[in-house]
Amino acid sequence: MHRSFFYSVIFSVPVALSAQKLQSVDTLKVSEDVSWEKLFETGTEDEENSSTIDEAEQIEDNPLNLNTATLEELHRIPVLTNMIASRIIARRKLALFTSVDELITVEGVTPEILSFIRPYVRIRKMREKSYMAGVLLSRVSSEIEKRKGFMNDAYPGSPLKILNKIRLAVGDKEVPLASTISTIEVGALTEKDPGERSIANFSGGFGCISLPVFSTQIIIGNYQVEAAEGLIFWRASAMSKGSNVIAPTCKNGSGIHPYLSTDENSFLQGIAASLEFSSVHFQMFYSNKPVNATIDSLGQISSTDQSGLFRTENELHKQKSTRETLIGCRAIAYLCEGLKLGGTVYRTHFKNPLILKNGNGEITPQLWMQGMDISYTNRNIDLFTELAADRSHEIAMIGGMNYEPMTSLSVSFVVRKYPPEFQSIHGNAFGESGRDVQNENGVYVGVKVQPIDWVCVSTYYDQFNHPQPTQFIPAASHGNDFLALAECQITNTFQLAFRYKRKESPSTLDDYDLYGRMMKQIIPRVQKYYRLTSELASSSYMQLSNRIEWTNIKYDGMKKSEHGILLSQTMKCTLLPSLALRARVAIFETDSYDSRMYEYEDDLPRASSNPALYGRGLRWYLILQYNIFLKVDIGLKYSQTIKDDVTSLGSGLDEIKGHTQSLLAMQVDVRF
Amino acid sequence: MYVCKKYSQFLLSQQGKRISAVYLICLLVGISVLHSMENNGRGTKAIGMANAFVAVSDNLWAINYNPAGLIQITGIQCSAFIIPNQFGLPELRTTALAAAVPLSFTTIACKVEKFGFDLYKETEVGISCASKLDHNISGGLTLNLHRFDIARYGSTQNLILNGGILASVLKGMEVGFNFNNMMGATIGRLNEKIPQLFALGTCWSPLHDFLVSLEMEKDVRSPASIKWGMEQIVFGVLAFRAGVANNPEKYSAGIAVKYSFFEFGYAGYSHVDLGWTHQIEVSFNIDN
Repeated sequence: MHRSFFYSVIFSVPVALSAQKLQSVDTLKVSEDVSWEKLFETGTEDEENSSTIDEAEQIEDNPLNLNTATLEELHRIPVLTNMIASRIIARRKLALFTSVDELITVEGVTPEILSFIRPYVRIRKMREKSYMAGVLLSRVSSEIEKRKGFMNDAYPGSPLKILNKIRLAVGDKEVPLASTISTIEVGALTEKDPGERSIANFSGGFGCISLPVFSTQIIIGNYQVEAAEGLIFWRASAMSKGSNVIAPTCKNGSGIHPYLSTDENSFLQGIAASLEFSSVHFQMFYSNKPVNATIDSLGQISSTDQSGLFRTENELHKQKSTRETLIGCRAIAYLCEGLKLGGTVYRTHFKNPLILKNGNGEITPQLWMQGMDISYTNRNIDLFTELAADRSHEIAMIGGMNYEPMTSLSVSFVVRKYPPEFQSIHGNAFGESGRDVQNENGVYVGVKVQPIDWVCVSTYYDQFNHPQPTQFIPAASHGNDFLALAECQITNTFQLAFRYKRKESPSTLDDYDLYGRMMKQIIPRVQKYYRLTSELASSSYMQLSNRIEWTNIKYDGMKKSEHGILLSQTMKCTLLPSLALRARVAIFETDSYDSRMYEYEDDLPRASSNPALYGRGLRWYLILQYNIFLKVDIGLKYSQTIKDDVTSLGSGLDEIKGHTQSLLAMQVDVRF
Repeated sequence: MYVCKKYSQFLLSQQGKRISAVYLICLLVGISVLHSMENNGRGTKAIGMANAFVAVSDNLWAINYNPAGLIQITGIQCSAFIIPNQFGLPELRTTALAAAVPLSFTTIACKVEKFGFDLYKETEVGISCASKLDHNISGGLTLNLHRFDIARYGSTQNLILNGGILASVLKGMEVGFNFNNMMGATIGRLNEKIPQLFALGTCWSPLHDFLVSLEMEKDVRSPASIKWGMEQIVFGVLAFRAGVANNPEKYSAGIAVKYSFFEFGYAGYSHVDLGWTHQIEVSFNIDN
């Protein structure tokens, strides 16, 4: 059936194109996709729970007013650095923006950045009466092939993955020069993963009231906290090292936000409030939330569950097996223009004692954390630092500088020191390990330079060490990471990019000692990636891109080196004014999972995927987006991975017999 | 001398430097690291250029390499092609006939091919169509009916779908993509998969009578192959072609003479282990 569907679509393309005079619509978002890839290219197998994308979509639902947005609000748009945000504010002090296109006159805003941020900003006329707006999203997806868990009834639920989400906002009329108006916003979400029994296996929601008095914001329900550079609080997914060498280094957290994402772990639940008194801002939060964790026979929390899958008896035992009660606050003082001093403190208590990671076997039900941060931003420089101390007075630190002496040169420098015993269960700071803000020291230098109009070179070098054993390496270790990207704009419509990445890090090899006992031997590993990408934006309704990528992994003498290759062709086009098509076919071959490759995929709105490609095979997908009328969109994605010379995919209850894995997803978006 | 001067002028120009640098990088990186599979090909122009033809595809044998290229055909074309004895073996004889007709909104083409001898025969009948997707990009599809006959074992046949895209990225520079057996057709009771070939290439014509092309081809089951080819036209009627490819390592050369509506072509290639193969072609072309 799916084959005939594919045939019909393929045959319809030239016919539809020749029959219609096409127009440009916004659905392609070509440059935007490229930037997302730069931010998430080091992703994991499934980024569908990305709270960063959800955060961006929230801004898209309620775009920022360019003439009133604060620096922190502008910095929530992923590619905007503090310096560019600062320049936008400086520019509007001279004259208010009358069009989003005027952003191009702001130093540092390139056409690519403008294209990326366009959906997130507006020049809105003042609302002279109250309004109501909302978004309703419903997505259903299912794998065509059945996994073993469904065949032997180990998974009690259906193979469907179902997500329903609604947001509704009611606002008062706007007052001149006021950045805050009275609004009430509510949101609710239900989600069911494949194999789970209930359609609302995970559910959540929030109510948020904003008042102009002291710019008060009160959130009841699910929310998340972003503070400073992420040592103490940050959302689950964060941008990390990648082709965008400047933007991810400084986070500059923007406080409390309602949470409506599908990550079942990384949020708080309770009440949070923020108040602004002139140049001092306060944020207070209280959370009492169930936690998914493994409880051992002694009643201690041995690990927390990050998968969000609750299908089998074992998995169901972890669901909401303990509770966390957290209370905290944050204060920020704006000492003078661009200079900000902040302080954060929280105390948390688990119902069951927690076995601390890298905590020398320490077990405690209580943790606390306090920290301070200071940052200074002006048009050309962004200085930032954060210090945090935990219950055992271990102090973690991150500090750095982004400097743009001229439009064509940006430099980023970051130093980090996260002690091995440091315990930050809600942090997610810049570095190798992301959410594990511990056991890492490092220095990062990033440079972006545009020596001539049509060439832009981005490069970074990161040196890091882990003073204690990590989850994968049973001894102290060190490594480094280097990336160089040259992007050549050959013509207005054609771009070539060459990327080289080299990462040197330790790896383990199973070996046996003289007594036949298995032991892990640590050997250095060097991974190299070479990537050539060409992009042709032939017209506003047609874009093609190709990629050739080759990887090589060398182990220090003990293990055979590995290779991988990936070739892909992507097409994005607007078939009709209201119908967009995106398709890709990629062929890959790697020696093993270690030499796997990633190619960030387009997906339905508010979703993204970055599947690991390894072994021998091909992957293709097709996405159709149709605007039924006014503000109702329907999307369809069909993807398939076909591997060669394998009899099954996956393992355990997730095993699929055969060599093909297919996924069909459908989504309806309604805006009102 | 005049040609050399024109080349040097181009290479010293801004655009020439950019394109030359990119080609050099592709060539050095590609040839040093990759391996490939065997693919004989059809048409003396393609074979003379070591089958680095996915981005060239400017005659009716685009039906095999990249159907999107058929859109470049400006008049009715017919061609007869023969490989009398591949690697010196008369049993490995290939004959092929093809025709293409450009219409106002599309170009259609068809072909018949026969390979083998009494005990083992492969026959393929194909139909192609190509269309402009916008002013710089064209797309095309080929549907082949492929039949295998093995004496005393019987026969089987399959439908195979191939698709391609050809994009003009710069003046004189094209990028081509072709995917053979898109639907993963298989053969026989054991469902043996017919090769799924993914080809990505570029061709560059700095002067109207000179062409160079570079291509990477990968089958799901085999290592990738790098191919390079070139064509020089002299006095508007004589074409010299050469090419080199790896995996397996082979080099090729060809010549074609144009006379009135007719073109007579010859190509030969040398396989590193199996030796020379010769092929000839006669084509008929009425330009609009």
